[in-house]
Amino acid sequence: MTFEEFVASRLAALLRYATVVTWNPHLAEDVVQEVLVRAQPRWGRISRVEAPERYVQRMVVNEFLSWRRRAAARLLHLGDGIDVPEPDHAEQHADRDAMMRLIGGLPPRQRAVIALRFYEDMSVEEIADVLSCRTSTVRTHLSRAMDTLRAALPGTLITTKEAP
Amino acid sequence: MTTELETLVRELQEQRADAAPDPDRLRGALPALIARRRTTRTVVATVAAVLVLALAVPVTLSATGRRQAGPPAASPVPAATPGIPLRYGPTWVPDGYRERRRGLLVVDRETGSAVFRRWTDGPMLGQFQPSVRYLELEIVEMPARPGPTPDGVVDINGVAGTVFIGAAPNSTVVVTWQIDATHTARVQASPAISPDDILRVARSVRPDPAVFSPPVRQGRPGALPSGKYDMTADDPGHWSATLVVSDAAPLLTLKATVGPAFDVPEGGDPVRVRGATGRIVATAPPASNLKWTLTLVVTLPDGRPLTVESSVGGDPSAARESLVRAVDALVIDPAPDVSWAR
Repeated sequence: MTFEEFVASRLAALLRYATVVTWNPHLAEDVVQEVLVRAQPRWGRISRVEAPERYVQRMVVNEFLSWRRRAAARLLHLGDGIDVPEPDHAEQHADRDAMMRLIGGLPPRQRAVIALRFYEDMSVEEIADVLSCRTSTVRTHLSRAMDTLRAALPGTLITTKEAP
Repeated sequence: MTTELETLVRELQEQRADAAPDPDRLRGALPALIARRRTTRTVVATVAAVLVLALAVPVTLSATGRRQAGPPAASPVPAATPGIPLRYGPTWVPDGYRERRRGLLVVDRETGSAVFRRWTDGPMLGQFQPSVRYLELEIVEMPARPGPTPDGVVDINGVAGTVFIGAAPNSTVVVTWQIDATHTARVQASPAISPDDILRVARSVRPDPAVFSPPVRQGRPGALPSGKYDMTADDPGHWSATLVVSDAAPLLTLKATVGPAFDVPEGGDPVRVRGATGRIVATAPPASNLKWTLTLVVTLPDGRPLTVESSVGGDPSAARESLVRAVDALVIDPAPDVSWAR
């Protein structure tokens, strides 16, 4: 698959994935743009790996998690609302809005882990491979993220329970 | 592990994914961005080198002439503070507005740095006053990159600029344009300021020889570490200066404020720092997976308070010594240039 074919077929999915990882459409566009601009000169090598899309997804996560990118997002976009999820159907869904904000407020690595786990349906081992860390680290991030969400979960939304 | 919570998270993630940017826009812009990358890298490297040089040689361009060029200052007492060119300024702001804040964001070579200046119609020191309206000019050290779809295109002195209006009620209006080959300008303002006035401010922006000398910085020679440096002044006698840096290893973050600070915790333990006795307070996080905060407060020799907050990982007691060392190493200008706040 050429770079152009990859962009033509996978860009929309990549942007959706990056939006879930970053929780910020503007930042997602920045991250994907940066990743693709960097990937293009190296596409000959990337295209030869077993799963080029997984490789690019890894680049997206790493770009997002890099301090520089997060600092840029935090510092350079002085406009309002850049990191705030968009309103979700006004007041009647305030609890879902609260959860949206809560996910957006998770530490970046935890947010990335839950994106890979639940949006991309990756196993803990696959996530560990993407993030270049140990599976125990992934489990810790996952557990902490879910604990945070569970603790703040509005009672009107859900009652948490473990499946058998 | 399958729980209702997981189902909810998946639903919300899908909902969030639906807000993803339009792929056609990026697809269309990508070829030009790739072609421009090589050129941009060269330009940014040059700009960064100039910035490093400017900061390494302590020459202050203050109009008062009270500082002279000289050898690099020995930390932590600054013989002179590096002057950061602000490059541009508006030649018109609405009646009643005065410049009350200026600062610098140092990010990295890829993203570029930015200087910003803020004009308000009321005081900025003290607790946040929602009634105070503001205008802000930001000069970013990078050519404009494609952003979200603008809500309009405007002419800024012969250059096509874009206007963004936030989706939320009472959002600020932001006007962005490429002001020279390597800089993007942004003007944004309180919602109460009319779009006509915002455009008038943008169109009045001209080269400005003013400089900003960060009154608080980390005691490292050469370039300023990545972070945010700013100064707020209601008048030359009433000011505060702040430094915010991430990755102030081994501390996670460090925010140092000279001047009034708010929400400073009470109590704490006495600590010897910067030749005086201050106090250090450890504040537990609201949840176990969040970070502790250490706050150090000390009175400087000129009587101004210095408040330093730091987010720390792990045991906060182990980070106390690191925080004291970091505060001792801060470079604090005892008499910064505040002449612009008149």
